[in-house]
Amino acid sequence: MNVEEVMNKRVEFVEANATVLEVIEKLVNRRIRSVVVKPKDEKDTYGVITVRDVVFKCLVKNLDPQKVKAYEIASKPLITVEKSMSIEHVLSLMERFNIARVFVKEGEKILGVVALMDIMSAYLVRRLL
Amino acid sequence: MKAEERVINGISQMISLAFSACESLRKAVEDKNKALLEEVFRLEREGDEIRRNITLEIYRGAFLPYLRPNIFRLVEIVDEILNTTEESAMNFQKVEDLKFLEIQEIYSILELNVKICSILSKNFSNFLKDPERLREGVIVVRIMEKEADNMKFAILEKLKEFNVGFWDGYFISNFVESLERLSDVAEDAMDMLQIILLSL
Repeated sequence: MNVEEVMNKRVEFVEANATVLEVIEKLVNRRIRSVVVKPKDEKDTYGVITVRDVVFKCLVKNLDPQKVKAYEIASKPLITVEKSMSIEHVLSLMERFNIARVFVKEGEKILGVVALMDIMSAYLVRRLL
Repeated sequence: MKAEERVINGISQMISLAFSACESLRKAVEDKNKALLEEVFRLEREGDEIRRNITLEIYRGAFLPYLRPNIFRLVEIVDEILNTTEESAMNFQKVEDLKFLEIQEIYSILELNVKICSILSKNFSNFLKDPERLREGVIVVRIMEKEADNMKFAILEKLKEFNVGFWDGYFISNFVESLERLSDVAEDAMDMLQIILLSL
């Protein structure tokens, strides 16, 4: 099984200067668990915000989600993999970096995301197909 | 062949037809070829014929009386999978402006539906024999149903960005609704299988 078979193509992006409230709105409205934060400038890189980042880096600290910007709480760098990579390799990356999702990149384009939940579903589906 | 076996074979055939219908629908949408939708309509009619034969077998005395209502309900649910696929095809046929097919999630949901029917089709007889296998199937279909629900939500959000006429909007909305409903119906089928297995 490789990344392309398992990845979820539903990736949502926000601008680096978007507020955390806009991020929360996107997470809720699109029913997703993470959003990719676009680079602030040419020197910057992509980042990711999950519910965990929103809670621990903003809400728990009593910061105003309308004032905090996405780039301020985004986790960087984005861990990316090739679409041809094996799932076993992805799992070892996840274990090493203690992360729950990796992004799938082709050149500079982000094609999708593979989360632990996607891998669990894929394994279960494979047993039945 | 015993009457009960004929009923089980009939249900199995209906599930295979549902799988083929979902595949035909996916191909029609991917190729933007509405002529391929005729195959979906044909498969639905074939499914209706099998359902009538199964009903006749049950009427003639297949299965113990206490099992018959649940067996018949399962047949109805499987028939609903075919009807829902036909409904999707009908709505898609009526849409004139296909620009909304830029939304990637539509293909993902079509693929998901094919996968769900494939799981039902390949495992139906095993599900009836092995409660643990069925339990696993229920979990998988439930995960997929949730995913289909999320995809529908994302599609509807993205659809708001498209400027379409009233009737196109109406049929696109119905098309998306019916695509998502298939996974709901499949989940119902799995629940009914569990009930039947409990009664055996």
